[in-house]
Amino acid sequence: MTARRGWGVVFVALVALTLVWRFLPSGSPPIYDGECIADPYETLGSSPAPMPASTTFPVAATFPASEVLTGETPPQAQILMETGTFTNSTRVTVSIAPVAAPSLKPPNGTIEGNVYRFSALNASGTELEPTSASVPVYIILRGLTSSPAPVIDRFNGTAWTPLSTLNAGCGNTFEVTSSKLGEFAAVSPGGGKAAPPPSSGGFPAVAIIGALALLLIIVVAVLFTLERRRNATP
Amino acid sequence: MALCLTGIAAAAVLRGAVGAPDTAASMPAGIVFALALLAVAIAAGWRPGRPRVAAAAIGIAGGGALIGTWLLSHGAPGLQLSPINAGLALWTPIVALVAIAEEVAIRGALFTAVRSGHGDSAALVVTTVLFAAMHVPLYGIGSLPLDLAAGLLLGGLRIVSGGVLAPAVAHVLADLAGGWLL
Repeated sequence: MTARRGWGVVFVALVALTLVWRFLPSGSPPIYDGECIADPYETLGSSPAPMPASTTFPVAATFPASEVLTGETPPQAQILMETGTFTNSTRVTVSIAPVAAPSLKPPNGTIEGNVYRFSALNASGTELEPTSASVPVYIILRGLTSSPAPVIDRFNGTAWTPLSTLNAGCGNTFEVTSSKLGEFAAVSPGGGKAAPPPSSGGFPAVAIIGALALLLIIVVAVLFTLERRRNATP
Repeated sequence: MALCLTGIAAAAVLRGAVGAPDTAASMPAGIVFALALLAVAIAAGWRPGRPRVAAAAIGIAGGGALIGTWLLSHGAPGLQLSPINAGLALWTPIVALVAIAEEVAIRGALFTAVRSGHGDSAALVVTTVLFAAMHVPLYGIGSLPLDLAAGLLLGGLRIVSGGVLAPAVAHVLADLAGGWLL
């Protein structure tokens, strides 16, 4: 392939990148890859406490595409909103707050991490919901593990409903779309964990994994050497 | 080529095993992964060529394009540098190491192996698909279109520049932007 065709590939890739970024929900995933920086999960009732988040949007003709996210790294709870998600004839305050888990348990597993309440209030304190199902909100919660992958459930005050959940990447974050606000939690199928696993010394595990890594590298190197010798043989 | 693919796949599996349950956030897993990829590349016969200024410049432009397309779609207002802290100081070289190792193994050793038997087009397709697929376990299926497009761009830089330096520089810049820019 000539350099000229290579530039053609670069051009096509740039167009594709622009389109992909244009249609991805904002904020997910982060720029390309790279090890993500993930602080330990903050559980309600522990210190430091998990952070709430709140943003007030001034009166506007149309509610702007925006996001509200808690202050941890990565955020433990996020809400992404499209243009026109809420009626914005008065100011709108979108809030995220960690709350105590309801006494009613989810039907599909055990809550891992915190329950977060997502709400939107207008200037008179009236609770708002997305204006229509065609402009759902994206709820992103951080779980404690990716294996098994948790499902995000929504609690409407009387019952939990499991939602179709996608892995959103860095730091065990998971995403759902919802046409309603309310309380959301990551639910681990089966047992699950109520709190992050305590840090253990872990030296034996690290040593074993390191030895396995070394062994694997040696095996691959030997296989390569054998293949190259075989290919070199006339 | 088969062994090159196997080695890269084994490195990815190893990364998952070391980093579980949060592989994407595990720096030890990233280091092990990078070292395994470099071992695969060296075992496959890859050796660094003489660095060329033009290739580095193409890489910088490519990194700018990767970051620029993101800025174009998300807007620069509010963009600022992250505060420097110990976590970021440790994260930066590890991310750079992982990005370089991925380029050396995928667009260095593997690209050369596929091209020698099947030509540039096949090498571009194989390396782009592999690059995207190996990130799915870390970042979810939603990352697939993004990493396919990014992989295509990096492959294009590899063809244009004739070496690994350009895609490696672009890859490092784009990944570091994820941590350094807010």
